[in-house]
Amino acid sequence: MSVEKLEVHPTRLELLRLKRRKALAEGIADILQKDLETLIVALVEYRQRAHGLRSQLYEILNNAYLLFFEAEMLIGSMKVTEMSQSSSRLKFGVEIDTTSGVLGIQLPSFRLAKEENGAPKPRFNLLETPVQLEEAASKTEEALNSIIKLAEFTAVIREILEIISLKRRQINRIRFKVTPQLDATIRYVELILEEIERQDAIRVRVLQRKRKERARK
Amino acid sequence: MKPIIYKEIMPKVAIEKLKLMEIDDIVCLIGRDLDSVRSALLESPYQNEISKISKGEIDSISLEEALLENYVKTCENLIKFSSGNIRRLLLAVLRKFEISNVKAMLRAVKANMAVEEAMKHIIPVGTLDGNRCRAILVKAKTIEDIVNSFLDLEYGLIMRSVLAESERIEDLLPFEVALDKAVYQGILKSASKLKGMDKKIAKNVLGIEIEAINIKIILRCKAIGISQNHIKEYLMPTFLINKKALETAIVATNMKSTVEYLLKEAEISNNSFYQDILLQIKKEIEKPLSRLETILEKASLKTSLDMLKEHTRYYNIGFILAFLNLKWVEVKNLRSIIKGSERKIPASRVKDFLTLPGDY
Repeated sequence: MSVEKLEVHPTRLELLRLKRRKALAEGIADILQKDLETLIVALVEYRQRAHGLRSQLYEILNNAYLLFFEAEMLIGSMKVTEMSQSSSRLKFGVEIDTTSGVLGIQLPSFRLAKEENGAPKPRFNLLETPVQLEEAASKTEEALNSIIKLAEFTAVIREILEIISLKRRQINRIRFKVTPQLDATIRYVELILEEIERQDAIRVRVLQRKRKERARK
Repeated sequence: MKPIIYKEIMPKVAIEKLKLMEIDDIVCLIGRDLDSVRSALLESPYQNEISKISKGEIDSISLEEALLENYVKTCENLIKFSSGNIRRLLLAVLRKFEISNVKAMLRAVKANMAVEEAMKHIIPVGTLDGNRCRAILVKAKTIEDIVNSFLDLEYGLIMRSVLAESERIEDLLPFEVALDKAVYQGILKSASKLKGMDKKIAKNVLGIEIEAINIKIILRCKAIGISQNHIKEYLMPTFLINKKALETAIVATNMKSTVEYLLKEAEISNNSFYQDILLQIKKEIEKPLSRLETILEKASLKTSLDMLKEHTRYYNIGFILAFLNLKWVEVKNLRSIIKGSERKIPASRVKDFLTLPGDY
């Protein structure tokens, strides 16, 4: 694969500059590589946390459904349907914010914002419903917290993945484009400088030879 | 006690009691699919109601509807053969189903349910037959419309007084509590009109049922963290224990001290049935609330069966109340089995939800 060299003047000063640029690029690539490794570690951590939270969420929902089915068995589907359709809805929203995370990156942070209605009140008729229905409802509320946290983790993972791909692109650009280009240019400048040196040496020898001949005459 | 008022109703109750399904027959339905449950019920006293459901439209709701319809029909049948104060008491008991329909209509309007959908939640009973309920649901657009359509009945007046007290209708709970209170007040009033042994039996059986509801309400409210003042609003009229004692029980710091206080009160009132139930609750107070609620649910049935053992089987209200309790337990058991089958709940778990005799 041929690499395009940079348009530079083949001088010693330029060669020094190019070598400095190459060292700098390699340094940046090393830093980016370290960042990438840190991000990958953070990604694995978040993935593990999300996995744990997902299992926890499934367990909460499983329990909620089980309690709901138990309530259905105790008072029948008709009553449960009636109750669930007419009971007051849970009023909630999601507050989105950012927090400083790994490598100081601003990561999304979600929070469940529930509308507090003062003193606690029963959601269903106490006489007609078994405690299982109330418990299923509170388990569902508990699940909401986990769902929001899981959404936050998913957003964080997505953000980290984007940054990882950006870093990877930057590293690849340095390693496979900038560094080879600098190498090629350095080689070119060195070649030119060597050629100039050789020509100078020949010129010196010719001049010395001519001076000696003139002195003999 | 006048045996003459039992002349017609007792044979009828005895026949209906014989029609109750055997516990073994009920238990063997656990885990079977809805089709085979339907087939089994076709050979039971529920045959008439079940046969109306075609094989294609079989689901837990249609089967549940059929079971409840059968229970209501059985009650209405007994009312037909009863007279005097017994008839009044049975009518008061049946009003539980009437208010269930009123509540279903209130909920349907609040949830903006279509009329046909809402009608699925209604079991025609007494003055609230299918046509009247449908007509109300077609016309009613708001809760006020429902309240106004019941003004010719006591329910309308009760709901209107709740409506007058509240500024905005956000919650149906005040309406439901007021209706429930009115029904239990009616039952207690009818029970107190009975005389002699009948009064004693009815007081114990129905009183235990109401007190069990009150204990359930107190325990649940304490578990949810509802303030003491609010708990009082949800309590049903008291019967065996005075209102003041119940209110003092609410103030107790935790569920255990509430039960202990009520137990002390039961000892003072010398009601052995009430004491038994509270002792059982005290013993299992550390267990989940669902377990305590199960004990309270079974309280009325247990008391009525104990009363049967204590007094003569015939010519008192105990036999009728025991039958009604047994029939209701049968309906509830079948409903649990049907729902368990539909939701594919393991058989052992379904069995936990059945009310079975202690020695089963």
